Amino acid sequence: MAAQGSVVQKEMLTAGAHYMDPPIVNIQLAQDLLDVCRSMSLWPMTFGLACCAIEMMATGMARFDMARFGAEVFRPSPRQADVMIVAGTVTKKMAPAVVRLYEQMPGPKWVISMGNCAISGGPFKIKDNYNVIEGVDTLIPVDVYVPGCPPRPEGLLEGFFQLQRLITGKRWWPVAAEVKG
Amino acid sequence: MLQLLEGIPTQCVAKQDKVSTGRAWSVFLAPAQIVKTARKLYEAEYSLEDVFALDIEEGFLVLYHFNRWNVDERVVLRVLISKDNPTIPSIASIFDGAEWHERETRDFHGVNFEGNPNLVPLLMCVEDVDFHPLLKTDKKRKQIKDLLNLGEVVSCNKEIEALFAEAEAEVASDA
Repeated sequence: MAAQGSVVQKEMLTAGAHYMDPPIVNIQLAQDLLDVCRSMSLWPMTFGLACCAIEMMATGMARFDMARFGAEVFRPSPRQADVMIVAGTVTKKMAPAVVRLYEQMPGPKWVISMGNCAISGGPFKIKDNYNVIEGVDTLIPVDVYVPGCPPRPEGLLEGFFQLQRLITGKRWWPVAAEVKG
Repeated sequence: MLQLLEGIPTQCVAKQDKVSTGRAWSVFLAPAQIVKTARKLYEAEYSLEDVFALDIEEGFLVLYHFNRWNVDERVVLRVLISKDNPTIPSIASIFDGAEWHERETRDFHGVNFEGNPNLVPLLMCVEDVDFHPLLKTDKKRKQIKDLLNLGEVVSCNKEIEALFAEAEAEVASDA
Protein backbone atom coordinates (compact mmCIF):
# COMPACT_ATOMS: atom_id res chain seq x y z
CA MET A 1 0.00 0.00 0.00
CA ALA A 2 2.58 2.48 -1.11
CA ALA A 3 0.01 5.12 -1.98
CA GLN A 4 -1.66 5.10 1.40
CA GLY A 5 1.66 5.47 3.18
CA SER A 6 2.83 8.22 0.89
CA VAL A 7 0.25 10.68 2.08
CA VAL A 8 1.62 13.53 4.13
CA GLN A 9 -0.24 13.63 7.41
CA LYS A 10 -2.03 16.87 8.06
CA GLU A 11 -4.75 17.99 10.36
CA MET A 12 -7.73 16.60 8.54
CA LEU A 13 -11.42 16.93 9.12
CA THR A 14 -11.82 13.21 8.50
CA ALA A 15 -11.93 10.85 11.43
CA GLY A 16 -9.20 8.22 11.36
CA ALA A 17 -7.24 10.25 8.80
CA HIS A 18 -7.04 7.83 5.91
CA TYR A 19 -5.95 4.91 8.06
CA MET A 20 -6.48 1.28 7.10
CA ASP A 21 -5.92 -1.78 9.24
CA PRO A 22 -3.28 -4.18 7.93
CA PRO A 23 -4.66 -7.41 6.43
CA ILE A 24 -5.02 -10.37 8.80
CA VAL A 25 -3.05 -12.66 6.51
CA ASN A 26 -0.38 -10.59 4.87
CA ILE A 27 1.28 -12.29 1.93
CA GLN A 28 3.31 -9.78 -0.05
CA LEU A 29 2.80 -11.48 -3.41
CA ALA A 30 -0.98 -11.63 -2.95
CA GLN A 31 -1.01 -7.98 -1.89
CA ASP A 32 1.00 -6.96 -4.94
CA LEU A 33 -1.37 -8.87 -7.17
CA LEU A 34 -4.36 -7.22 -5.54
CA ASP A 35 -2.74 -3.82 -5.94
CA VAL A 36 -2.33 -4.39 -9.68
CA CYS A 37 -5.95 -5.44 -9.91
CA ARG A 38 -7.05 -2.37 -7.99
CA SER A 39 -4.96 -0.01 -10.07
CA MET A 40 -6.36 -1.43 -13.31
CA SER A 41 -9.97 -1.09 -12.21
CA LEU A 42 -10.16 2.28 -10.53
CA TRP A 43 -13.75 3.33 -10.07
CA PRO A 44 -14.03 7.11 -9.82
CA MET A 45 -16.99 8.82 -8.27
CA THR A 46 -19.41 10.80 -10.45
CA PHE A 47 -18.69 14.05 -8.73
CA GLY A 48 -17.87 17.39 -10.33
CA LEU A 49 -17.79 20.78 -8.65
CA ALA A 50 -17.01 23.23 -11.43
CA CYS A 51 -15.66 23.58 -14.95
CA CYS A 52 -12.95 20.93 -14.39
CA ALA A 53 -15.79 18.40 -14.33
CA ILE A 54 -16.39 19.11 -18.02
CA GLU A 55 -12.85 17.99 -18.79
CA MET A 56 -13.36 15.01 -16.51
CA MET A 57 -16.44 14.03 -18.53
CA ALA A 58 -14.47 14.45 -21.75
CA THR A 59 -11.83 12.14 -20.32
CA GLY A 60 -14.48 9.51 -19.75
CA MET A 61 -16.03 9.87 -23.20
CA ALA A 62 -15.04 8.13 -26.43
CA ARG A 63 -12.33 10.46 -27.68
CA PHE A 64 -10.01 10.23 -24.70
CA ASP A 65 -11.58 7.02 -23.50
CA MET A 66 -10.47 6.42 -19.96
CA ALA A 67 -11.84 2.89 -20.34
CA ARG A 68 -8.58 1.97 -22.06
CA PHE A 69 -6.89 2.32 -18.69
CA GLY A 70 -9.56 0.63 -16.64
CA ALA A 71 -11.11 3.68 -15.02
CA GLU A 72 -14.29 4.35 -16.93
CA VAL A 73 -16.85 3.11 -14.42
CA PHE A 74 -17.97 6.39 -12.87
CA ARG A 75 -20.04 5.33 -9.91
CA PRO A 76 -22.98 7.41 -8.73
CA SER A 77 -22.44 6.41 -5.11
CA PRO A 78 -19.38 6.92 -2.91
CA ARG A 79 -19.92 3.44 -1.48
CA GLN A 80 -19.05 1.91 -4.83
CA ALA A 81 -16.15 4.19 -5.70
CA ASP A 82 -12.49 4.06 -4.78
CA VAL A 83 -11.19 7.23 -6.45
CA MET A 84 -12.50 10.67 -5.76
CA ILE A 85 -11.65 13.21 -8.42
CA VAL A 86 -12.12 16.61 -6.82
CA ALA A 87 -12.82 18.43 -10.07
CA GLY A 88 -13.35 22.09 -9.33
CA THR A 89 -13.64 24.81 -6.75
CA VAL A 90 -14.42 23.63 -3.23
CA THR A 91 -16.44 26.29 -1.46
CA LYS A 92 -16.84 26.57 2.27
CA LYS A 93 -20.45 25.53 1.92
CA MET A 94 -19.51 22.45 -0.13
CA ALA A 95 -16.63 21.38 2.14
CA PRO A 96 -18.69 19.31 4.63
CA ALA A 97 -20.29 17.42 1.72
CA VAL A 98 -16.89 16.68 0.17
CA VAL A 99 -15.60 15.33 3.47
CA ARG A 100 -18.71 13.26 4.00
CA LEU A 101 -18.45 11.74 0.51
CA TYR A 102 -14.82 10.93 1.15
CA GLU A 103 -15.63 9.25 4.43
CA GLN A 104 -18.37 7.20 2.81
CA MET A 105 -15.95 5.66 0.33
CA PRO A 106 -14.69 2.24 1.35
CA GLY A 107 -10.93 1.78 1.61
CA PRO A 108 -8.51 1.52 -0.02
CA LYS A 109 -9.35 4.88 -1.54
CA TRP A 110 -7.50 7.60 -3.33
CA VAL A 111 -8.06 11.25 -4.14
CA ILE A 112 -7.05 13.13 -7.26
CA SER A 113 -7.07 16.88 -6.85
CA MET A 114 -7.90 18.15 -10.32
CA GLY A 115 -7.25 21.73 -11.37
CA ASN A 116 -5.79 24.77 -9.70
CA CYS A 117 -8.87 25.54 -7.58
CA ALA A 118 -8.83 22.15 -5.89
CA ILE A 119 -5.07 22.26 -5.45
CA SER A 120 -4.67 25.70 -3.89
CA GLY A 121 -7.75 27.82 -4.44
CA GLY A 122 -6.38 28.88 -7.83
CA PRO A 123 -7.74 32.23 -8.99
CA PHE A 124 -9.75 32.51 -5.76
CA LYS A 125 -6.69 32.63 -3.56
CA ILE A 126 -6.89 36.37 -3.04
CA LYS A 127 -6.94 38.64 -0.03
CA ASP A 128 -10.70 39.14 0.00
CA ASN A 129 -11.53 35.49 -0.52
CA TYR A 130 -14.35 34.59 1.83
CA ASN A 131 -15.86 31.35 0.61
CA VAL A 132 -13.36 29.18 -1.23
CA ILE A 133 -11.30 26.49 0.47
CA GLU A 134 -7.69 27.11 -0.50
CA GLY A 135 -6.69 23.59 -1.38
CA VAL A 136 -8.80 20.49 -0.89
CA ASP A 137 -5.79 18.88 0.82
CA THR A 138 -6.67 20.95 3.88
CA LEU A 139 -9.82 18.79 4.14
CA ILE A 140 -8.95 15.35 2.87
CA PRO A 141 -5.64 13.64 2.01
CA VAL A 142 -4.75 14.01 -1.67
CA ASP A 143 -2.64 11.47 -3.57
CA VAL A 144 -2.23 13.03 -7.00
CA TYR A 145 -2.37 16.67 -8.04
CA VAL A 146 -3.26 17.47 -11.65
CA PRO A 147 -2.59 21.17 -12.28
CA GLY A 148 -4.26 23.19 -15.01
CA CYS A 149 -7.15 25.57 -15.39
CA PRO A 150 -8.74 23.26 -16.30
CA PRO A 151 -6.29 20.45 -17.10
CA ARG A 152 -6.58 18.83 -20.50
CA PRO A 153 -8.07 15.31 -20.53
CA GLU A 154 -4.56 14.05 -21.30
CA GLY A 155 -3.50 15.68 -18.05
CA LEU A 156 -6.13 13.83 -16.07
CA LEU A 157 -5.16 10.57 -17.79
CA GLU A 158 -1.57 11.25 -16.78
CA GLY A 159 -2.86 11.77 -13.24
CA PHE A 160 -4.43 8.34 -13.36
CA PHE A 161 -1.16 6.84 -14.61
CA GLN A 162 0.55 8.50 -11.69
CA LEU A 163 -2.04 7.06 -9.32
CA GLN A 164 -1.49 3.60 -10.80
CA ARG A 165 2.22 4.09 -10.28
CA LEU A 166 1.59 5.06 -6.66
CA ILE A 167 -0.52 1.96 -6.08
CA THR A 168 1.68 -0.58 -7.88
CA GLY A 169 5.06 1.12 -7.97
CA LYS A 170 5.24 0.96 -11.74
CA ARG A 171 4.17 3.08 -14.69
CA TRP A 172 2.15 0.84 -16.97
CA TRP A 173 1.74 2.95 -20.07
CA PRO A 174 4.20 4.31 -22.64
CA VAL A 175 5.20 7.96 -22.33
CA ALA A 176 3.79 10.06 -25.15
CA ALA A 177 6.37 11.01 -27.77
CA GLU A 178 7.39 14.63 -27.80
CA VAL A 179 5.95 16.50 -30.75
CA LYS A 180 8.50 18.60 -32.63
CA GLY A 181 7.92 21.71 -34.68
CA MET B 1 -45.85 53.90 -15.20
CA LEU B 2 -47.06 57.17 -13.76
CA GLN B 3 -50.62 55.83 -13.67
CA LEU B 4 -49.42 52.83 -11.74
CA LEU B 5 -47.83 55.00 -9.11
CA GLU B 6 -50.96 57.01 -8.47
CA GLY B 7 -51.92 56.80 -4.83
CA ILE B 8 -48.46 55.77 -3.70
CA PRO B 9 -46.43 58.41 -1.89
CA THR B 10 -43.15 58.28 -3.79
CA GLN B 11 -40.03 60.14 -2.80
CA CYS B 12 -38.80 60.71 -6.29
CA VAL B 13 -39.88 59.65 -9.78
CA ALA B 14 -37.53 60.20 -12.67
CA LYS B 15 -37.15 59.17 -16.25
CA GLN B 16 -33.81 57.56 -17.00
CA ASP B 17 -31.64 57.64 -20.06
CA LYS B 18 -32.12 54.14 -21.45
CA VAL B 19 -28.84 54.06 -23.36
CA SER B 20 -26.61 54.84 -20.41
CA THR B 21 -28.60 53.22 -17.58
CA GLY B 22 -30.67 50.51 -19.27
CA ARG B 23 -33.75 51.63 -17.37
CA ALA B 24 -36.80 53.63 -18.30
CA TRP B 25 -37.88 54.77 -14.84
CA SER B 26 -36.31 55.24 -11.47
CA VAL B 27 -38.52 55.47 -8.41
CA PHE B 28 -37.33 56.29 -4.91
CA LEU B 29 -39.57 54.95 -2.19
CA ALA B 30 -39.85 54.89 1.56
CA PRO B 31 -39.41 51.37 3.00
CA ALA B 32 -43.06 51.26 4.01
CA GLN B 33 -44.23 51.70 0.42
CA ILE B 34 -42.28 48.91 -1.23
CA VAL B 35 -44.83 46.15 -0.69
CA LYS B 36 -47.68 48.23 -2.02
CA THR B 37 -45.70 49.26 -5.09
CA ALA B 38 -44.58 45.71 -5.76
CA ARG B 39 -48.21 44.60 -5.59
CA LYS B 40 -49.18 47.25 -8.17
CA LEU B 41 -46.36 46.20 -10.46
CA TYR B 42 -47.34 42.58 -10.07
CA GLU B 43 -50.89 43.40 -11.07
CA ALA B 44 -49.55 45.26 -14.11
CA GLU B 45 -47.71 42.06 -15.15
CA TYR B 46 -44.24 43.21 -14.32
CA SER B 47 -41.72 40.53 -13.49
CA LEU B 48 -39.02 40.82 -10.89
CA GLU B 49 -35.50 40.79 -12.27
CA ASP B 50 -33.39 41.11 -9.17
CA VAL B 51 -33.05 42.51 -5.69
CA PHE B 52 -29.76 43.74 -4.34
CA ALA B 53 -28.22 46.40 -2.16
CA LEU B 54 -25.56 49.05 -2.55
CA ASP B 55 -23.38 49.95 0.38
CA ILE B 56 -23.10 53.76 0.22
CA GLU B 57 -22.30 56.51 2.64
CA GLU B 58 -25.95 57.41 3.18
CA GLY B 59 -26.86 53.84 4.16
CA PHE B 60 -27.97 50.88 2.12
CA LEU B 61 -29.69 51.53 -1.17
CA VAL B 62 -31.83 48.48 -1.89
CA LEU B 63 -32.66 48.14 -5.57
CA TYR B 64 -35.49 46.22 -7.19
CA HIS B 65 -35.51 45.84 -10.96
CA PHE B 66 -38.76 45.09 -12.70
CA ASN B 67 -39.38 44.44 -16.35
CA ARG B 68 -42.23 43.62 -18.67
CA TRP B 69 -42.17 41.43 -21.73
CA ASN B 70 -44.74 43.22 -23.87
CA VAL B 71 -43.62 46.78 -23.16
CA ASP B 72 -39.98 47.79 -23.11
CA GLU B 73 -40.09 49.58 -19.80
CA ARG B 74 -37.54 48.56 -17.22
CA VAL B 75 -38.19 50.04 -13.80
CA VAL B 76 -35.96 50.33 -10.79
CA LEU B 77 -37.35 50.87 -7.31
CA ARG B 78 -34.82 52.34 -4.94
CA VAL B 79 -35.21 52.27 -1.20
CA LEU B 80 -32.70 54.03 0.98
CA ILE B 81 -32.44 52.56 4.47
CA SER B 82 -30.18 53.50 7.33
CA LYS B 83 -27.12 51.58 8.42
CA ASP B 84 -28.24 51.53 12.08
CA ASN B 85 -31.38 49.57 11.37
CA PRO B 86 -31.16 48.00 7.92
CA THR B 87 -34.68 46.61 7.86
CA ILE B 88 -37.10 46.57 4.97
CA PRO B 89 -40.38 44.71 4.38
CA SER B 90 -40.10 41.59 2.26
CA ILE B 91 -41.90 41.32 -1.08
CA ALA B 92 -41.62 37.54 -1.11
CA SER B 93 -45.36 37.28 -0.49
CA ILE B 94 -46.00 38.98 -3.84
CA PHE B 95 -43.12 37.75 -5.99
CA ASP B 96 -42.18 34.27 -4.78
CA GLY B 97 -38.84 34.53 -6.54
CA ALA B 98 -37.86 37.48 -4.38
CA GLU B 99 -37.30 35.14 -1.46
CA TRP B 100 -33.95 33.94 -2.71
CA HIS B 101 -32.89 37.40 -3.92
CA GLU B 102 -33.59 38.74 -0.45
CA ARG B 103 -31.70 35.94 1.19
CA GLU B 104 -28.73 36.66 -1.06
CA THR B 105 -28.88 40.34 -0.19
CA ARG B 106 -28.99 39.45 3.50
CA ASP B 107 -25.93 37.23 3.00
CA PHE B 108 -23.88 39.90 1.33
CA HIS B 109 -24.98 43.11 3.05
CA GLY B 110 -26.84 42.15 6.19
CA VAL B 111 -30.09 43.82 5.16
CA ASN B 112 -32.92 42.33 7.15
CA PHE B 113 -36.04 41.59 5.09
CA GLU B 114 -38.97 41.53 7.45
CA GLY B 115 -41.54 38.91 6.54
CA ASN B 116 -39.28 36.73 4.41
CA PRO B 117 -40.41 33.20 5.31
CA ASN B 118 -36.95 31.66 5.41
CA LEU B 119 -34.23 34.24 5.95
CA VAL B 120 -31.27 31.87 6.37
CA PRO B 121 -28.01 32.06 4.42
CA LEU B 122 -28.42 31.08 0.79
CA LEU B 123 -24.94 31.29 -0.69
CA MET B 124 -22.80 31.68 2.41
CA CYS B 125 -22.31 28.78 4.78
CA VAL B 126 -24.22 28.74 8.05
CA GLU B 127 -21.16 29.49 10.19
CA ASP B 128 -20.82 32.84 8.41
CA VAL B 129 -24.32 34.00 9.26
CA ASP B 130 -23.05 37.28 10.72
CA PHE B 131 -20.36 37.87 8.12
CA HIS B 132 -21.31 40.05 5.17
CA PRO B 133 -18.54 40.03 2.56
CA LEU B 134 -19.77 42.86 0.33
CA LEU B 135 -19.76 45.51 3.04
CA LYS B 136 -17.28 48.14 1.98
CA THR B 137 -14.55 49.78 3.99
CA ASP B 138 -14.94 53.48 4.72
CA LYS B 139 -12.25 54.26 2.20
CA LYS B 140 -13.99 52.47 -0.64
CA ARG B 141 -17.50 53.59 0.21
CA LYS B 142 -18.94 56.24 -2.08
CA GLN B 143 -21.74 58.75 -1.98
CA ILE B 144 -24.93 58.13 -3.91
CA LYS B 145 -24.36 61.08 -6.20
CA ASP B 146 -21.06 59.64 -7.41
CA LEU B 147 -22.74 56.39 -8.37
CA LEU B 148 -26.08 57.38 -9.81
CA ASN B 149 -27.61 60.31 -11.58
CA LEU B 150 -31.13 61.33 -11.02
CA GLY B 151 -32.23 61.62 -14.63
CA GLU B 152 -35.15 63.62 -15.87
CA VAL B 153 -37.12 64.34 -12.72
CA VAL B 154 -40.90 64.14 -12.84
CA SER B 155 -41.50 64.69 -9.15
CA CYS B 156 -39.08 64.72 -6.30
CA ASN B 157 -39.07 65.60 -2.65
CA LYS B 158 -36.42 67.72 -0.99
CA GLU B 159 -34.58 64.90 0.77
CA ILE B 160 -33.73 62.99 -2.37
CA GLU B 161 -32.95 66.19 -4.22
CA ALA B 162 -30.54 67.13 -1.48
CA LEU B 163 -28.67 63.85 -1.91
CA PHE B 164 -27.97 64.68 -5.51
CA ALA B 165 -27.75 68.45 -5.10
CA GLU B 166 -24.03 68.90 -5.12
CA ALA B 167 -23.49 66.68 -8.12
CA GLU B 168 -25.90 68.73 -10.15
CA ALA B 169 -24.28 71.93 -9.03
CA GLU B 170 -20.94 70.60 -10.22
CA VAL B 171 -22.37 69.70 -13.57
CA ALA B 172 -23.81 73.18 -13.84
CA SER B 173 -20.47 74.79 -13.07
CA ASP B 174 -18.79 72.62 -15.68
CA ALA B 175 -21.24 73.86 -18.26
